[in-house]
Amino acid sequence: MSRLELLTPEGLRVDGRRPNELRKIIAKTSVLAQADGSAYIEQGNTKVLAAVYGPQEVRHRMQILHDRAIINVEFNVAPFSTSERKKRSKNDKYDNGIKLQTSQFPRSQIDIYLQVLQHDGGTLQACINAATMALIDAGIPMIDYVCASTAGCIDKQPVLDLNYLEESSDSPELTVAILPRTGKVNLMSMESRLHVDMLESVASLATEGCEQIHTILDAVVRDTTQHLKDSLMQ
Amino acid sequence: MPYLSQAERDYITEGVQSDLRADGRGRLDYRALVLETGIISQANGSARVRLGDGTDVLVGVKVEIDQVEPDADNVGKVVCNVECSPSASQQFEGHGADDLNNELTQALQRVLGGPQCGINFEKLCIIKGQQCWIVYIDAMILDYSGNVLDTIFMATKAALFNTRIPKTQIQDLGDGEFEFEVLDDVEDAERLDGIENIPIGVTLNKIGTGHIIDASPLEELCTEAKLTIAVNKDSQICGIQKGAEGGIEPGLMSEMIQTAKRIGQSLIQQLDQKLQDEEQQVDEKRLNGENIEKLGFFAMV
Amino acid sequence: MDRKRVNGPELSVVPVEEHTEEKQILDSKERRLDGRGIDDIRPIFMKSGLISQANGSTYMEFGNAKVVCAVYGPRQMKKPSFTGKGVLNCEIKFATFSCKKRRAFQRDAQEKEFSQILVQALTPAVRLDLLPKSSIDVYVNVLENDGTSSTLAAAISAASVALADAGIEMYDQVAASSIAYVQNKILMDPSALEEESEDGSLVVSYMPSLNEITHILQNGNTESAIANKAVEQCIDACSKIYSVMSTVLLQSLDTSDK
Repeated sequence: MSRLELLTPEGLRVDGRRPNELRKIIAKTSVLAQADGSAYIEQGNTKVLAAVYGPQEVRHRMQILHDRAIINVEFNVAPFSTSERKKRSKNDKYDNGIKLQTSQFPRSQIDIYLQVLQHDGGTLQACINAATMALIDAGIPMIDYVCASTAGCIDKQPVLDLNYLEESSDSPELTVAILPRTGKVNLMSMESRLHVDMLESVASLATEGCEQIHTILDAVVRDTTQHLKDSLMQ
Repeated sequence: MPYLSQAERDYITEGVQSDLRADGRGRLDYRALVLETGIISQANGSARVRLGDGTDVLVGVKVEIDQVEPDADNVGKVVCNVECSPSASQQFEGHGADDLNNELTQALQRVLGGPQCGINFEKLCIIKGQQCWIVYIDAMILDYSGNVLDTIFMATKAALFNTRIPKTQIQDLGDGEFEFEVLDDVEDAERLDGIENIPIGVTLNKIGTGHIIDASPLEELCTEAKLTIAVNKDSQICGIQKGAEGGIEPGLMSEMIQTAKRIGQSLIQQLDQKLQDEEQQVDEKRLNGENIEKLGFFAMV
Repeated sequence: MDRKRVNGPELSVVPVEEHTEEKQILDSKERRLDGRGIDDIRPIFMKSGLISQANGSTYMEFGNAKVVCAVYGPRQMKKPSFTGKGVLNCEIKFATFSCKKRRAFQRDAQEKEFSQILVQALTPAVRLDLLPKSSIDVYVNVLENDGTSSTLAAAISAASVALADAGIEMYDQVAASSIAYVQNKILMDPSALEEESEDGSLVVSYMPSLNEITHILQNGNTESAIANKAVEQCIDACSKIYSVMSTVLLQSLDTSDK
């Protein structure tokens, strides 16, 4: 069989989406009891749980920063999350560019624990979005949301929000995280080859995706807060 | 490590004595729990159990083909693994959970890895002397509010109920050589043989002179000794393990075993009923061509 | 792969064994392979104070099972932190040559678990409340494993004697014994051969003068009546082992007086 057809002649993708379409995103905050803030997000079949502890005392005194807080991220993948079971070691690869007002908490530490429950492409973007939601849930002052999205390029056609199948078939994947209000780019990462002519269109598509995600996440946060307000008023 | 003050300790102990605990339960009352199966699509079976206001366990079951062991060439096996996520408690960060992971893994493996788990291991063998299915049970503790081991057992039983193993077709190539093919059809996948016999665990915590089930975190800190007893539906005992750092008198222990047996029975009955109800609902929806929505973390507690 | 040591060849095959006639675990008169009755425990040899570096030590033979136990402490904790009670650390290690299959140098999951069981079985006996800020370290080395559950029981008993030998205050000695369920019968103190055909096993550690069970571990399914009977039998056996343990300690006092 020849290479899997990722884009039909009509311009539809393997899961029936159009090139500039995101997968379904649902999110919820305050899912855990122990953590100070937590969030759960589903982006298509990618499911991520984030927990935030802090701000609190720094555990290793060596690491204390006198003017701001340190942020510690731990990332963990569930053994059953991919189609082939494997045990993976923990790593801190995704120390993402989350924008916090850390100067408000000198000499303290904020811990973010990310748990991937199901992996179907775009883990990094889902992790960043989940962490943002969990930080908001923890009530930590932030300059803005950090929204992340991926975009890739299939047959010279920029496509948004790659799933696992598209990701694993050698197509380039660019992850972009922005602060939607100012439009500033926080993170841009790509570990594959992409023609420089395509970069701008792919990046702008990813940025567009980030803005869409911002609307969705903002709605969730506002909804939750409204709900909380209502229950307090009663 | 959190500490408990003497006043708190007395309060809990007195409460157990007068059969009224801090959250209004009696000694042998269980907290309400939320159970859902089939929430991880990439696993062969999965279940999530949230107990009370906090203990959250997600179990994923995956089946894989492997070579049989040379000294047991006609059986497959079950391999258990428990992992505590740091989202449950900051103590579990880095390697902080290693000891607990090991303790829980071994406890689960001891009950489910042997014949007492009730699963027909011979049915897991595909070709005698060559290949078999290995059932990997991975449990993740996502949130913590006491009584983790019992929750893991319950979630595991539910996840195994939900597990389907693909059918295989064996071809005889002659000369005693065989080859097999895994059938891709989802409809053809079978349930494990003997899942109705899978035991669950009941942990009794001895506080003062009384014992309680389904302990909360504070009650666990106050526990002198705990006894986890695995029981199956025929009220056979499939494993006993003592935990915590105190002793138990033999008389009290046999009383605890009887209590655990009784409670285990009713828990298994309720669990089986709920699992069957849920499956029936899913099947009905599938027949009517409706979309099957899994609630996952969106379930109301 | 462990590159520091000489490893076996990459490709290995299972040796062809001549099929020997399967021996019955029990003969018609309910005698076992080694001539014991079903309720008999194997002969015990025990000696304390063999390791001169340690504060307390024991060597124990339980039939073919051989364990060495050394106790260090009470001593200052490695990490200087305050605890109101002392800490009991236990480490159990099977020698690489102790089992039928070679054990690795690194501690595996079973050894880690056994270490935890040892802590849980011994803690109720030791007066840790008298030893704030200090730790007691118990190291058990299994030289020969003749039945995993009976070896665990031997390790618990040996550790208890070694703790007493180190002069650490205790409420009572902890004696441990094991049984195996074989063909609906309860076999006391099973050997490795008997363990191969067991349906389940039970290890009980017990403090005879306080009448308290400090640890219990059962696997395999049984009716609760049988389990209760097995626990009672283990308790009886523990009392027998207890008398051996006391004799050994008294003997060690005699020798040290001279």
